[in-house]
Amino acid sequence: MAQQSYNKGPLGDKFNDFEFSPSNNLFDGIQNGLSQDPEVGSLSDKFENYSTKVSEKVWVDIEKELHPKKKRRAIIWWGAAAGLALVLLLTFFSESNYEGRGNLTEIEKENEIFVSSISKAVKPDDIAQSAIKNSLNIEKVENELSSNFQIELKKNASLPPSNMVKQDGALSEKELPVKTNSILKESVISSNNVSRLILIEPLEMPMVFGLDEKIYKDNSADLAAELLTGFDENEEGEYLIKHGLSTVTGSLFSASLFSLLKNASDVAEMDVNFSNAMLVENSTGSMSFDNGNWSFTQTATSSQSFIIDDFNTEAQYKKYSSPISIGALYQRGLSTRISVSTGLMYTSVAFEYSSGIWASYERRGKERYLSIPVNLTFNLLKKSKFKLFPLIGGQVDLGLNGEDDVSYNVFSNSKLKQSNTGPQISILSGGGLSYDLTSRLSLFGQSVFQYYVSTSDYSYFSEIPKAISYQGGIKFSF
Amino acid sequence: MNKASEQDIIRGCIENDPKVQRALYQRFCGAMMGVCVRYAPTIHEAEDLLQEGFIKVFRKIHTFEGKGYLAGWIKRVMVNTCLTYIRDNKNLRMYVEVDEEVLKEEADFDVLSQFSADDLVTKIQRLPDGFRVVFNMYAIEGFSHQEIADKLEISVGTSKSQLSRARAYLQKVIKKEENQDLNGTAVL
Repeated sequence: MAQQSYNKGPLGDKFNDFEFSPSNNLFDGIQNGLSQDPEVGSLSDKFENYSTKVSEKVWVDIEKELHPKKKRRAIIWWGAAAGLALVLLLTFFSESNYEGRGNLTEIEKENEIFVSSISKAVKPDDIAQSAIKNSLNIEKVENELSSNFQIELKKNASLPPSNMVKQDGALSEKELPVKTNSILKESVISSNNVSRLILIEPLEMPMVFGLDEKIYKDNSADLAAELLTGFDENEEGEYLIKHGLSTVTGSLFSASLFSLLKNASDVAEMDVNFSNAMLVENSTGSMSFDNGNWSFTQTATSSQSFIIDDFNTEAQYKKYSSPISIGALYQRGLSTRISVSTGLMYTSVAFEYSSGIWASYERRGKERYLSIPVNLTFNLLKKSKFKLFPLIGGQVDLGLNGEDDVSYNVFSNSKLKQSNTGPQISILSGGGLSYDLTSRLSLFGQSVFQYYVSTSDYSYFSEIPKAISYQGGIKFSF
Repeated sequence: MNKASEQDIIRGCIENDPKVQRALYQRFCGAMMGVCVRYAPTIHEAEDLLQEGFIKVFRKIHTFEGKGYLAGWIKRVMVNTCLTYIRDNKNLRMYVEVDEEVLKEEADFDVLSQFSADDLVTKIQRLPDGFRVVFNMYAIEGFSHQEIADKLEISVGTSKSQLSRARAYLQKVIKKEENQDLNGTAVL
């Protein structure tokens, strides 16, 4: 390289031998820049604004990596839900027995009421003013009561053999063929022209019992009392009243000549037989009515006992089949894993009772519902077209017409139409499996544990509020 | 993205705000995928690299000092992620048996410049691993052979030979495709 001549400044001599060593990178950069093919630059330009499509899954995976807590939280929630479901399930199996629901002792414990005092007296007029007073119009009775009971009233029906309910005291043998066994869901009431049989709701009974007497509240007693007050004094016959699924059983009271007391000023005394079937003893006494009040004087306690097991016991065989539902659901995804679903399902339940206590007794019932579930499902696993999912939610069941086929003693089968009009509400949890037919349509099957928090009276679910249901059908996803 | 909004996004990402992180991702994911597909042999691996790269971006964004543009910083993170993956990949082959006749042919980038970026990506992805990486780094990213050697832990000579072979290989591939197209046209 030729020497370049130039004028030196005052400090020029100081830099005659000065060298500054550039970094290697600087030289590489210069070299690279000089050697770079122009075509290479054009290639680089092509990619300056180049972009391409990216799968949605990439962000999902990034988010999982960046925010794993959400996932853990979801797992904790679902774990807690699964644990709760398990506890409820175990509770259900430990408490419920589909083949018979406990023995009589358990029923007693559930329903016993200890009476510490009797404060309210019943006047004859109270009963005389009944909604069905002085009426033997069966249709009217049925209409009056059908809103609460399924009732079938048969005149001149055969009653159980009287020797099974034979009483001591002044009452005739015919006066006590009374059966209020809600377990059998039957009440049998007898009436003739000699005496009346009155069933009165125990807490309002104007008698003084020992404080430790067990009184069993019985809805059917109210019903029977109302019906009997309407009997004509000269009417003869025996009656069978059959009503729905009352849940309490027990007390039995009888009084004779009750209907002879027409006015509050009447003074009368009559024999009264009280029998508490649970206690295996009879009490006989006299009841007097004076100045509008009743009083009871116990005259004897019979040594003769009822045959308790024969007189008041539950059905020997009870079977409740699990609810089965089929229908169509609409499902909408809330996230990649959580969906909400709702739709319409047709639910069917069945139960059977039978007993050989009085005679052959068989009852087969079916209830049908239109069910509307609202569930949250969590897509736990997906394998091919199969998905495994747990779910929680709730369900409303609207009653449709059902069937009640009863065979009792000499009666031929009587078929009743059951109507459960009230909505029944349950909460549920469970799990299921679905199979994708298309991207939007799938078949599903699920098993759920349901707890009915609200039921209509005398329905399957009032008897069995905790049920395991099997549901299946088609699911539309959008 | 202007500087002000860039600052907001950086702040949001430092605060680990999922919405802001998603906004940043959506802004750059396409371009960064464009980087990854040039280095990875398959789309699946490219997506893995993109995911790994963005996780690094979100976790290291507090180290971005604001010198230069965020896009450039993200791209450097992404390229480094790709290079780390390639360097650590035991199956990376720097020497591939190629027909020597191919290498004798004069190869330059003139032929390549006629193709679109999408076409080029398709062709680049067909290169053997070693060729593809060096070609990308030299021809597109603008690294020198010394830088390539440092980053891939290979010699400068190896880098040069890989580039040379990559050029020749691409040339051969292009010619082959042209012949196929011509034959196809003749048939039609």
